[in-house]
Amino acid sequence: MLFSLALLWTAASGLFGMDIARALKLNPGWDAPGSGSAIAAERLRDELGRDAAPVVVLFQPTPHGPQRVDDLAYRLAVDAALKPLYANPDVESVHTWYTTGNAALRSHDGRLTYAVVQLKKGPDEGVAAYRTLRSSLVSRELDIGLGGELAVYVDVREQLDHDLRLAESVSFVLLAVLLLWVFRSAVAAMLPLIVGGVTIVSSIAWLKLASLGTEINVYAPNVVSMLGLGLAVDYSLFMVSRFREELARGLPKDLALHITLRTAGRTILFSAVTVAASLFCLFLLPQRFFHNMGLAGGISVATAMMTTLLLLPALLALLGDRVNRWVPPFLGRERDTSETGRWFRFSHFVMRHARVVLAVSIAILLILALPVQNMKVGPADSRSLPPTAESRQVQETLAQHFANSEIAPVMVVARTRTRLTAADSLAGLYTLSTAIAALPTVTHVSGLTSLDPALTLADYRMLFGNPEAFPQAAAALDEFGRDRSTVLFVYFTGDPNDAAARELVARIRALPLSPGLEAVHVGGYAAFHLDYLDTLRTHVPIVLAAIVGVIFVLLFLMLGSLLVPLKVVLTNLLSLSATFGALVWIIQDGNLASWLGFTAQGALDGTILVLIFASAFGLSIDYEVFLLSRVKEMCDATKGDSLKSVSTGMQQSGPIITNAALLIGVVLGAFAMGEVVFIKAIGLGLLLSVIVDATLVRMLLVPATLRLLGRLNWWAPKPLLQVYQRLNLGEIEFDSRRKA
Amino acid sequence: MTFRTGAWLLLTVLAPASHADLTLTGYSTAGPLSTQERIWIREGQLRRDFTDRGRAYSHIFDFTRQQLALLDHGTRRVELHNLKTLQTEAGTGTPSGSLQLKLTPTGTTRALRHWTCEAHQLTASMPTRLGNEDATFHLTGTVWIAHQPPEQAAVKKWIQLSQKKDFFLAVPAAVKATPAQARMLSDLVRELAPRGLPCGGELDARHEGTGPLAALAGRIPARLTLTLHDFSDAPLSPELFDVPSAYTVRR
Repeated sequence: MLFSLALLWTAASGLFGMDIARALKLNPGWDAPGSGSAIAAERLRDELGRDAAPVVVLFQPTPHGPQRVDDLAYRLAVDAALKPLYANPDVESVHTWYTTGNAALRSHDGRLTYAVVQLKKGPDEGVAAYRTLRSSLVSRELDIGLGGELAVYVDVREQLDHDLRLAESVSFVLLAVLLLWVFRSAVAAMLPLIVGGVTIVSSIAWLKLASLGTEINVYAPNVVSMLGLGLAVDYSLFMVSRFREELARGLPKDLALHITLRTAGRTILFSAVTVAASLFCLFLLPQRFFHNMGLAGGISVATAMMTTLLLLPALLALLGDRVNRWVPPFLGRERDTSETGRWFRFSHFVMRHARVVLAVSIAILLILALPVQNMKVGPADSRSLPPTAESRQVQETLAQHFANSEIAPVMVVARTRTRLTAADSLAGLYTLSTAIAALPTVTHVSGLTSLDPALTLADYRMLFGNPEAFPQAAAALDEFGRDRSTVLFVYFTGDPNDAAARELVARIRALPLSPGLEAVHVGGYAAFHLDYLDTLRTHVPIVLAAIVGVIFVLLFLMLGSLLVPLKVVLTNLLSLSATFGALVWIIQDGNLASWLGFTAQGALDGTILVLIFASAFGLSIDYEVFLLSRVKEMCDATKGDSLKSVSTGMQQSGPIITNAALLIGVVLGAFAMGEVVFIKAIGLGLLLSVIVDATLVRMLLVPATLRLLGRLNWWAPKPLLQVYQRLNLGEIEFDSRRKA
Repeated sequence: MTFRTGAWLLLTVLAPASHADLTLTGYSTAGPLSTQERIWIREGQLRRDFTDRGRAYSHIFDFTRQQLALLDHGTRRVELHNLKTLQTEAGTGTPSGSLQLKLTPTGTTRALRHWTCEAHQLTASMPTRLGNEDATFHLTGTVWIAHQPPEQAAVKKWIQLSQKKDFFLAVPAAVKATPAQARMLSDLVRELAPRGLPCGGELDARHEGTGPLAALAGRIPARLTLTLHDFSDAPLSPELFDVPSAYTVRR
């Protein structure tokens, strides 16, 4: 019955979620609500009607075409290529070297030029318009490339789709092979794959449902796939292993399933709550992007858990002993399942040399964490794309051949106290624009009171006081102003991604508000990044504290100890530091870049760090929880014999944790193969975190500290212990042998 | 005079002659702004296609019916205006006085396909008003004219129409903002049309007067240029001068 329902559910979910791409927003939601850049963007859109995305159309000579931008043939070729755009209703404007005389649009050597096309964003952020634009631009005489923020977004989206499909295919194949090796039964190996598949399909459906109530960005399905598949496979592994273990003890199918659910099921439930709680802490950040990631992560974790706890038991009940069938002959050898196997012996070794092992393992983690000292947090740019991506190539050509980019000016939105052309308003605007023009790196300012450097405030008063006599005044008002709002475009030297651009934004914001102005908001690309990084700086400590606090409380509720949760949190922080150190060494500094297929980023995107922290902190707990629950169980059984409880716990959990780490590692590794550095870094970061946790932390740090702390491990103040006992949320180990 | 209007009128000033069809293609600039220019003349009709800040527009003049159609291809809208009414509006409230024109050959020539284009020094002036001030509007610079090339016969009817008293060639925005200049440029067309076909021009526009507005206008440079790079007398389809049926019409 449950199985049939699951089939129906999966089919319905598949149908419902298959067009999720239409429901997602290209805008990732990185704007910090209430920040200067967000307010500026709102005012530009709502008050000034500016909601267009700039696209760079770069023209380069071909061997057989015109070579000089100033040749008539070159201009004719540019005009012919751009001709379809002029009647395109999605195009707000087209500016070229030829139509503006703006020297910034002509390369140093006079061989390249670019047009800036403003595309209406619309509900899909301009993606459809961009694709139409891309397909309509053709030239025989010139090479055409598209760049700019929207082009990068579309390229990232298309690359992510490709990477996602590839990662899912590779994951499933590798998982199938690994699961067969782990379980030594094709039937058992199929179960985690079925659970993984159903988890992805269901999660996507839940995500689409959520998109009906809130805006969800296009990155969410990648998170759902990566976490959902990895966790579903891990959870299934715990469950199937435990079920087979109980069957091997000669228990009947129903009892084996009952015990499996009471033990492994409870651990899975706890693990899922832990990971989800960690991810939900992302809601403490103000940006929608993090809410989306928290939601997507929460959905995938919850769905993986529900599928494992509802569908998998139904499948196991149907299969019973047949779960062990279809054993490939080349994998028939039984594994070491004795209570004093190699994990038991290894943990004995670790505990005999606990102090040394502890010191060495901490030293290794600290060495791995050393590069964190040089960590630079900055915005992601087109280098996040593979070198073959068109938008990246265009960006690099612009940086190499042009004086300064005209596509990412700082945009200053000013609102005047009275009408724009009133004397006080013009005085305020004039003071503001001249003050901005005097700032370092500013090349020129374009706005109502910046039409000509030779004009004085008195001239502007006369100009705008007689618009009927001066067409320039009417044109400027039409171009830059509406009601009491106006925009000033500030052009500057250097890369909009650089700290210098953010410094310029800060300087503009620090300018005193002129009497005629009611408010000034600074927006644009550099301002957005400044606000984004500021938000991270102020909110991330709160998020980290919340994650650590939540995990600490959950661990206490499960283990009834104060010291163990504290130790877990500290080792996790240490392990994450090592992960971040490795990420700095790899992603930021570019070590292994050619091997992993990316370009050194020079900085780490703050978003990546937050996402890795939230996901890895929860995931890392998994293995420790699994190990500690076994240790605690043995500790209770042996009345506090730490040596035996740890060794037996290690022996019982060792193979499963290793396999789980291997399996989730395969999934994360497949995502790390992706070509977009954003997802590659997340996949790689989580993979490194899993490796560190499954090896250094689980094999060395945990047993060594448990040994050294001895009985103190399970200590808690009496009142807290009473709370723990009253809630009774700890793992209940079913003594199957006694029952049998 | 708006920048755009000035640039295109410069082209039409230089686009005269006889009886069938003519196509002119080139570029015009007004200050830092530049646009492709395409002008088609057929019988008593003239169509100009241009772009302004990335949007495509067409102006279709029908001098026989005294009608002007302004097409915005981006919004697919068309405005219809009566040229006679525009001419009346341009004459209201502007100082009386006629165009003072001086055209002197400089002896310099250049080729445009089989045309020989001769440079002329142009000096044109007309009384105007800036706010409440009386002023004079001047156009000075070089215009390039091909005298009596074979294609001139193609616009014979158009040139006849341009000689009539009610001939008026301006768009409503120009009439509203700078009525005197709109009148001036219509007069310029009338004067120059019979002389030949245009190849290009580089003109400076300035105001002269004793008031502060004129002084300010004098300090704001306005340079208008035209570069023609091709022409054709191939027959044109009459539909080229029709208002597209799918467009929303506003009268």
